[in-house]
Amino acid sequence: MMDAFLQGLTLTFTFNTLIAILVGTIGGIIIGALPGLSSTLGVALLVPFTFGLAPATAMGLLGGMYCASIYGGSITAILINTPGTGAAAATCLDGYPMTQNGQAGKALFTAIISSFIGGTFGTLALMLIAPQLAKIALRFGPPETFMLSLFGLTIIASVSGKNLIKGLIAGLIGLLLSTIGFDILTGFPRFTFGNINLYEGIPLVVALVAFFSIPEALTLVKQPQTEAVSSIDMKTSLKNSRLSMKEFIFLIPTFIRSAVIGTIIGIIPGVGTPVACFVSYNEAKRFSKHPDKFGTGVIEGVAAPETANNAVEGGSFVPLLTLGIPGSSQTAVYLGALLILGIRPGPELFTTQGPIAYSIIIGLYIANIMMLVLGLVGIRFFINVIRLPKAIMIPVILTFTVIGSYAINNSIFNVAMMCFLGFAGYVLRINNIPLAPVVLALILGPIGENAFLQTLSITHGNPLLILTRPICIVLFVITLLSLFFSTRKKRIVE
Amino acid sequence: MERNRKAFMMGFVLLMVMVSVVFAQGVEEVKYPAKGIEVNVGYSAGGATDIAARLVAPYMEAKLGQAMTILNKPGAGGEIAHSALAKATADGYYLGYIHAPATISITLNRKAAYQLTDFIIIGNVVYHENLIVVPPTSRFKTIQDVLAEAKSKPGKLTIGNSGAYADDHLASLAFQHTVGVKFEDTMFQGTAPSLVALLGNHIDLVMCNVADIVDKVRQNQLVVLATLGAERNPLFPNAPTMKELGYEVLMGNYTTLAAPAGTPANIVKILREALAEVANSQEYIKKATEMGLPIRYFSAEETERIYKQQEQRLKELWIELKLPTT
Repeated sequence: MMDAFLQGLTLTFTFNTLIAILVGTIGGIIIGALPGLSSTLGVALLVPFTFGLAPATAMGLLGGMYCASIYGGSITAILINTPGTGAAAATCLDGYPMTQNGQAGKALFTAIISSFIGGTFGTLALMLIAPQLAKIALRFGPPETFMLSLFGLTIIASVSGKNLIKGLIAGLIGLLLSTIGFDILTGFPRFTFGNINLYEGIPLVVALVAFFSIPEALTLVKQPQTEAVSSIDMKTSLKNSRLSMKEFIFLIPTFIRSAVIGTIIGIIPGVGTPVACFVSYNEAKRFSKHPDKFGTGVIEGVAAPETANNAVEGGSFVPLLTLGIPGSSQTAVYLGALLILGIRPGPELFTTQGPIAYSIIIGLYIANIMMLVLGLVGIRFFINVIRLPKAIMIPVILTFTVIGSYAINNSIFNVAMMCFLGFAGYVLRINNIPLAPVVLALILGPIGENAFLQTLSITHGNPLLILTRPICIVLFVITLLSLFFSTRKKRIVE
Repeated sequence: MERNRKAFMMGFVLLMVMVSVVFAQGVEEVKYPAKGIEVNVGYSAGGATDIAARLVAPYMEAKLGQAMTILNKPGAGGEIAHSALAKATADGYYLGYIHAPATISITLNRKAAYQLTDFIIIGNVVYHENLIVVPPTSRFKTIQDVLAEAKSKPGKLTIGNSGAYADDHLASLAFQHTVGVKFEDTMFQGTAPSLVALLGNHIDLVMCNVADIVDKVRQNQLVVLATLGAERNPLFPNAPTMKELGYEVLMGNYTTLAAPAGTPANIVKILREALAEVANSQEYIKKATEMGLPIRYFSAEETERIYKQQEQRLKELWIELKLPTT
C-alpha cells in the first residue's frame, strides 16, 4: 500500500496535475456559487476536456470541480439566500440570517473552515477505511433507505421556523410536488398532463432557484433602497470575520458529528448531499444548548451543513472506487470519465491500479487545501456582493436562475417551470410558509417512495418484516426520538 | 515550457467554457457537411450511451471533417431526445441515438410524440445481450438452481431491474413468460442501485446487460448464470444461453445512430459510409475494447431488420402479458 501511495503522490505532484486541480477548484467555486449551476453539471461539463489528459491530471481536474463546487454553493447561500447547489440549501437557514445580522464575513469564514474540515475528514476516511465503509453501503438496502428518509422527514419540524403547522403544510406541498413524474412501479406518468417534460418530476435545481432565489429576489425588490450596506459596516463585518479560538473549540463537536454524518450518508447510494446537510443541521440543533436560536444566525447552523456536504464527497467515492458502482450523480459522471480513460474501478482498483486510485484521493485532498486558501482569500471579494446595488444584483440573480434551469437538460420548459414555481414560492413566502421544508420534502419524497416500493417487493408485501433488521430498528428509534424532541421543544418555545 | 503552455492553454479554454456554458453557434451552409453536426443522446453525460456517442464522435469528425457535438437531452426514459430527433430539421446536421427495445417500448407503453418510422437508421454501434447475475456467495450456482427454486416457490425470488418497462424489466418479463416461472420484479432507478442491493443480499438476482457487469465478473464480484444472447458470450464462456437450454428468449440492448426521416438520400449515404468505415477501423475497435464498450456494428439494412423484428416481438409481448398502455 505504501508503495502505491508514494507512486500516487508522484503522479499527483506534477505541474500539469496541480494546475488542473487549481483550474478545477477555481471553476468549481464559480459554478458552485452561481445559482442553478449544480456540481453535477460542473463535473459533466469538464468530462470532454479530460480526453487525452493523463489519468491523474483528469481526475484532479474533476476532483477540484467536485470539492469546490460543493463549497462554492455556500457563498451565495450565505450572502443572498440563494443556494448555488442543493448541497447549500441547508446553509441558507442560518447563513443568510448571519448576513442580515452583519456577520457575513464570519459566516463565510465558518463555511470555508467547515468545508475544509469536512472534506479532509471524508477524504481521509476514503483513503484509510474504504473497504470497511463499503460494507456499510451494502448493509443499506431499500428498507434502511426508507427508514432514513422517514427520519429525514422529521427534520421538517426543525427547519420550520416558528410555526410548526405552517412547516407541516410546507412539507406536504413538497411531498405532493414530489409525486409528479413516472410512477416507479408501473411507469405510469402522474400529474404530468401528458407533458413529457414533467415525466422525470421537478428537477432539484429548478426547485432550489424557485423556492430560494426567486422569492428572495422578489422580496428584495419590495424593500426600500436605503438598506444598502455602508462601507463602515463592511469593514466591521470583515474585521470580525475570523472565528475566535473559543468559537472554534465550541464548534469542534459539530465538526466531528457532521463529518461522520456526511461521510456515512455519502456512502449510502442514492441518498445524496442535501439529505446529509439537513440531517447534520438537525443533529446540531438537537445537541445545541439553545436550539431555539437556530434559524436566527448561529455559527453551528452554518458549520453543520457545510462540514457535512464536503464530507459526503469522500464517502460517495467509496462505492465507486471499491465496488465500481457510483452512489451519486457526481460519481456517476466520474465513472464515465474513468471508463473513457481506460480505468475500470472495482475491488481490484487499489491492488492493480493502486497508484491511480491513490492519486485520485490525493488529488481530492489537494483540492481541499486549494479550496481553503482560495476561500479564505476570497472572503473579502465575495462579501462585496452584498454591497451591489439591488438594481444590479436582482437582474443578475434572475439571469442565473434562467441559465441554470435551462442548463439542466437544455430545455426551455424548465425555465417556464422555474418561473411558475418561483412565483408560487413567493406567494408561500409572503404568507409566512417556510420554504426549506418544501425543498426537503421534495428531495426526500422520491427517495422514500422508491425505497418503500422496493421494500414491499422484497418483503413480499409485509413491510413489518423490516423491523427484524437492526439498522432499521435504530433508525426507527431515532425517528421517534426526533419527533418527540421537536414537539417538546416547540411547546417550551411557545 | 511546452508543458507550461499546454497547461495554460487548457486553463484558458476551460475558463472560456465555464463562462459561456449556453452560447450556441451558427454557421452557413455549403456542401454536406459544411458545419458541425449535433448528435442528441437521451441520457446524461457519463452514461453508457453517452460514452458510446463520445467514442464514435472524434472518428466521425475525422472522416467528415466537421465537428460532432454531443447534446445530452436526458429525461422521460429517452423520449424527450427521441421526440426532438423526430421533429428536427432533416438536413443531416441533427442526428441522435435510438435504442431497441427502449425506443420501441415507449411507443407501446404510452402515447409518444414520435414513432419508429420517424427515424432513418445510419447504423448500429453497440449491442449487448441481457443476462442474469448473482454474487459468488449466492446459493444459486447454475441457472437450473434458480429455475428449480422458482418453480417450487413461485413469486418468491426477487429480481432487480433498472426501471419499470425499461429494457431489463422487459427482458425479465420475457424470460419469465417463455420459461414459465414467476419472479418478483423489484424496480430500481438504473442498474447501479440494483447491483448494490444484490451485493448486499437484499435481492436474489439482477437482470442487466453485458457492459454493466463485465468488470465485476472479471474481478469476481458477480457471476453470470445465463445470458439471453443467441450464442455464448466469449467473455463468460461458462454461462449458458437460454437458447441452448431450450428456451427461445433472446433479449438485448441496441444503441443505434439515426437521422430524422426525410433526410436527403445522399446525406444518409455519406453518414452510413462514414460510420461503416469508423466501425471497421482498428483504432476505434482498440479504443472501445480498452473502455470495455460492447461495440457491435450492424449495417443500416441489418439494423432496420432487427428493429422491425424487435417491434413485432414487443407487440406480441405486450398483448400476451397484458402490459399496461396509457
